[in-house]
Amino acid sequence: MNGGVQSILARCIVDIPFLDLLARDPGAALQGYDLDERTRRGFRELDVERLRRFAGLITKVQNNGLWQPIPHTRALLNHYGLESDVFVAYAEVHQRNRTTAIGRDEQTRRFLDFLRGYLALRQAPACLGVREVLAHERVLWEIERFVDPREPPPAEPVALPASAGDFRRLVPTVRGALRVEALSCNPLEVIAALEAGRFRPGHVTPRELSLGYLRSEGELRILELAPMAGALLSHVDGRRSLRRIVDLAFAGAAGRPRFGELRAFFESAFRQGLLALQRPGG
Amino acid sequence: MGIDAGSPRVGLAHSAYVHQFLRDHPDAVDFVEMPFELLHHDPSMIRVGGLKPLILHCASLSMAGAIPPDSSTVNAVQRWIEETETPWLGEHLAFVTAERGDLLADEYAPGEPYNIGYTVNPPGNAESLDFVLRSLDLCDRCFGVPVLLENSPVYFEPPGSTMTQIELINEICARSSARLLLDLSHFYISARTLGFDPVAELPSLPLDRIVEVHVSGVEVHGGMHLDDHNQRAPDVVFDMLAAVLRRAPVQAVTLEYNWSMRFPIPALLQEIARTRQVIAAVTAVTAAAAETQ
Repeated sequence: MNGGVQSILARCIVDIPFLDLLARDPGAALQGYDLDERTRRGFRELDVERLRRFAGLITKVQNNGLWQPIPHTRALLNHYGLESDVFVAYAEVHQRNRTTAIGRDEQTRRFLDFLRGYLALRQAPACLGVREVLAHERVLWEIERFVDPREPPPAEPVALPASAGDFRRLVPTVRGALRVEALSCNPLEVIAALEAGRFRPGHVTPRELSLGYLRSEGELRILELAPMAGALLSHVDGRRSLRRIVDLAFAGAAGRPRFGELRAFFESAFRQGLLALQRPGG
Repeated sequence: MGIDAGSPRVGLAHSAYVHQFLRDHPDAVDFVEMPFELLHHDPSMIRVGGLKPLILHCASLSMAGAIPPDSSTVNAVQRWIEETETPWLGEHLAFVTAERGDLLADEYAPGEPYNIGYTVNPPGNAESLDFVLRSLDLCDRCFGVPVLLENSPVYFEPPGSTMTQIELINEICARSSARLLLDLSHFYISARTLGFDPVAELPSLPLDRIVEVHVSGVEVHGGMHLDDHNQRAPDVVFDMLAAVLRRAPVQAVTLEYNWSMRFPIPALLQEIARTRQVIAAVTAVTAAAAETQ
C-alpha cells in the first residue's frame, strides 16, 4: 500500500494539475489507486495547501542557483514575504522544465520571464520597487552573458549633412551595446538602500525614468536618460534610419519634438561617441 | 575522523562559498559535510577535502521508498565513501522516487519512476519500517561505514500512517543497529506541524544512537514552518542542541547554511561561535558532574 501512497504524494509534487485535482475532487484524483479505506480517507482529509507549499519549497531548493544574477530582487521578495509564494506559483513551470534538458541560461531566462509576469499581476504597494530591480538585474545579466564583448570598429567620421532630409536618412549605431529600460522608480536607489540595510517601501519615490546600460570599451556605464533620449535610443538597432527611429519613438504621442531639438540630440550623442552615424548602405 | 568519544566537532554543509571561507578562516570549522550528489555531478569538488576532512551526505538512496535503491546509485555512493574517507554516511529517512504506474508512464522514459529530486517523509507504518530495514541491510552489505538516518521534516501527516515518525525511528533502532543524524530544525518543524513541544519530546528519541546533529534555519510562511538553510537557526534550535548534547554521544554538529551563495560570513562566524559555546557549556557541566560523582 505504501507504494500507492508514495506514488500519489510524488505525483502531487511533480504534477501540479494532479495536486489541483486532489484539492478539488479527491475522489476523482484517487481513482485507480489501490488504497485501503483508511488511507483513502487520509488523502481526503489531507491539507492539500500544505502539500502545495511543500512542492513550492522543493521548487525553491531546486532553483537555488537561479538567484545568482538577481540577488537584490531576491532580497526584496524576502522583504515583502513573497519568495515562498513565488515558488509555489513556479512549481508547475519548474516541473515542466525538469522534463526537458535545458541549460542554466535557459532555466534562468524562463524563471526571469515567469517572475516578471508574476510581479505584473501584483499591486505596487505589495512589491514596490521589485519590478524595477528585477528589470535592472536582468539587463545586467543579459549584458554580461550574451552581449558580444567585441566592440564595433569606430565608424568613419561623416560630415553631418546640413539638409534635414539627408540627416533623417542617416543610420545610427550604438558604439558598444546599449539597453534602455523604462522604469517607474530608480532601482539603483532601491539597491543602495538594501545594501545599507535601510530599505523601506515608503522611501521608494515613484517616478518615470529611463536608464541606459551602455557597455563600451570593456566598461559598463549606467546613464539616466531624459525621456526623449530614452525613447529614441531604445529604437536604435544599427539598421533603422533616424526618420524611422523618430517615428517609432513618438508613434501615438500627442506631439513630437521639433526637428532642431532631435538633431541637437543626435549630434550630441554622435560627438560624445555614443553613436556612430552612417549613410544608408554605408 | 571516526566515530569515537570526545567533544563534538563543528562543521559546515558544503556551499559555493565554503572553499573560500575555509581559506579565509582555516580554523573556524573542523569538517565539511559534502553532498554525494555534488561529487557525483562534479568530481573536482573533492578538492575541498584537501582543506578539511569530509563527511559524506546523501539524498539519493530513498531508504524508505517502495522502490529499493538502484545498484548504480549504491555503487556510486560506495565509490565516494572510499574517495572521501568519510567516517559515516548521512542519509534521510525518506523516499525520493515512487512508482509511476503503467497508465502514467512517461512516454519518453517508459518504466521510469517519479523522481522527486527531494526527500519526502514516508508514512509511519510497518511497511515503511520494512523498507528502511531492507535498505539498511543493503547499505551494511555494500558500504564499509555506518549509515546515519536523518529525520525528515514532517509538513503533513502522510496518509496510511499508523505510527508517528518518532515511533518509526524507535522501531528502526529497536530492530537494527542503525545510528541517527538528528536534524534539529526538522524536528522543530515536525513539532510545529504536529503540535508537540520539541524540547520536551527529545527524550522520546533513541538519543544513544545520535552521532551527528544538523542545525539550520526555519521559515514561517502562511502559518507553516518550513526548512530554510538561508537564515539563522531560531533560538529554540540551540536549546535543543544543548539538550541533545547532554544526553547523546554526538560526534559532529553540522551547520547547514547552504542555500545561498551569499550567506553573510559575519553571521556564519557568529553561528559557529554560538555552536561552540553551547558545546563548551555542556562539556563543562558534564565534566563537573563527573567529578562530583
